Amino acid sequence: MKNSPLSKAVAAASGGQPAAYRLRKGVRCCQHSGAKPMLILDFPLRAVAVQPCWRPLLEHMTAADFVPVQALSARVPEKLRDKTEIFLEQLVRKALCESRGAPALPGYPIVSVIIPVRNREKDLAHCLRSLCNLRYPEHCLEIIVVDDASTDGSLQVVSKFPVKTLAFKTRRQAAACRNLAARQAKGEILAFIDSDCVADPSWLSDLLPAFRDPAVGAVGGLVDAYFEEKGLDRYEKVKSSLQVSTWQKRSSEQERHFYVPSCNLLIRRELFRELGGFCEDLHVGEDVDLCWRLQKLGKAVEYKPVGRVYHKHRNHLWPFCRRRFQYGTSEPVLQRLHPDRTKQFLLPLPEFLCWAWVAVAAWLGSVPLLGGAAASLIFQIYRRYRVVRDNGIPIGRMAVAGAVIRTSLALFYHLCLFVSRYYVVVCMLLWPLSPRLGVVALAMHLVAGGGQFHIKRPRLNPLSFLVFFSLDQFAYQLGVWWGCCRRGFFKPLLPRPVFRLTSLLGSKPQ
Amino acid sequence: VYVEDKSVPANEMIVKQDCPAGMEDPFIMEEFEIEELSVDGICGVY
Repeated sequence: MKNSPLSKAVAAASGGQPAAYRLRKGVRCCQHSGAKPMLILDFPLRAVAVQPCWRPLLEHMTAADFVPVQALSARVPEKLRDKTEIFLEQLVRKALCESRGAPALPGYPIVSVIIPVRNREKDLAHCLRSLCNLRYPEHCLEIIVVDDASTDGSLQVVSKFPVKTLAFKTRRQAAACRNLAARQAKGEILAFIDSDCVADPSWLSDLLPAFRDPAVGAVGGLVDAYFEEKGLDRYEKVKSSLQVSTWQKRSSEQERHFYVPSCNLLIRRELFRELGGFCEDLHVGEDVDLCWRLQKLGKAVEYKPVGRVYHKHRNHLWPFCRRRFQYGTSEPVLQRLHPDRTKQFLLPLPEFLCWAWVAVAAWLGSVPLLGGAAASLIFQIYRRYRVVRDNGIPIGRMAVAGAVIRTSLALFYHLCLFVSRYYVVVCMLLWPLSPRLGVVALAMHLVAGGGQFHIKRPRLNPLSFLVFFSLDQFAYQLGVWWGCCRRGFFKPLLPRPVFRLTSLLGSKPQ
Repeated sequence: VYVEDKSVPANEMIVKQDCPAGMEDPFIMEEFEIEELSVDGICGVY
């Protein structure tokens, strides 16, 4: 790592209790003598061959107990000991490992917490109280509130807390507020949070260690729901647009649309200034734009499912739908600003052909044509098993068959989700002209809703979930179409299909 | 960012720093995505 003052401070921050790791449930480690060590994940089925020098480390990892990183690094050659955590973090991002806890913080960088506010006096007081309870030394913390021409008592609330206050006389929106505060911030790290959020005491201490890697320019943490009483609260708890993932992720060439929301975003101050801050012309999606520009600079954006802030979602139907509509309108704007991030739709070719056979058979009402779909699947199972066998991967024929079938089902699910997200309203409007199209679109929407219910496991009955899911999809979709029609720019509705024959032949890590 | 120094045996791999951005380290030799898509997004990107 580079020896910048920040790297040293954050490295010192990690010098206490070490992080601990274990294999993810469903991951097995195969270490036959003479063969390269492999980690195999059952669902989704994938095999990862690691460098033989890490073999002793893997021998001491199981899916049962977390092992401290120091105990694991003691197993590897001395030259690699300080790289152990980097290796393990890579396994975490590939969903092969789980990490627990955050390193203690005996050394601290100065952090400027920035909060834009407009007419939210009660929420702001709650937010500031939570920031006063952060497990972080006061002398390393600067809190800046920027008032966006509030007409309520927000400014009076701020005066009761030990924070720096800035104010606009006329409304300028959140992006301008954040930029104003960033220009005056003293901290090496800028930490953005919204006035309708409440920070967990470990917010900063959980996320700051990610900056030990100089490649990381920004870090985002978990955004959880503050309310859980009403049905809509419980929907937002699992389906909020502010939720990034359930596991650790990092931006990459593959994850081209990856971003973290500005209500829980930490970024290096110098990078933020180099980027010119948030785009003030964007009132929605300014965080997406910032993260994408940061990636263009060659810096990574990391997401960690810790460092929690609780967000007070809009838990009435009209504000909920309006917000989703606004999110939808940002798609064409962002696509136009970032033509290099045109939306893509990944289509594994054999599975796509299988569904094409099914679609043609259903349209023509021909059962024998389904034989084409079955032949396509069987051929794919044969191809993949042959590569598995030739590479000495200890995976059986039936497991490969299961993986191919699951890939086909996942492709169908993603197609349904896409239709539900962008086209179901249009197809319903066209129902009088083509009832069959309407029925197909509605069926795909129901499959998408059912799939989401199964994956997200909300504390809601299926019917309530489906109602909220439909409102969510329809409002967002209207927003996208509205934005596209207004600008005469329809790329968000027409993603570029990316046909992939297979990646099975073994790929180098990305 | 880290890359492998090919001049030394794999079991004594040296990790170098400050390599071109976008390159991940070589701790992992090969990946085989037998299941190319999953509903929870662990593999495949949308």
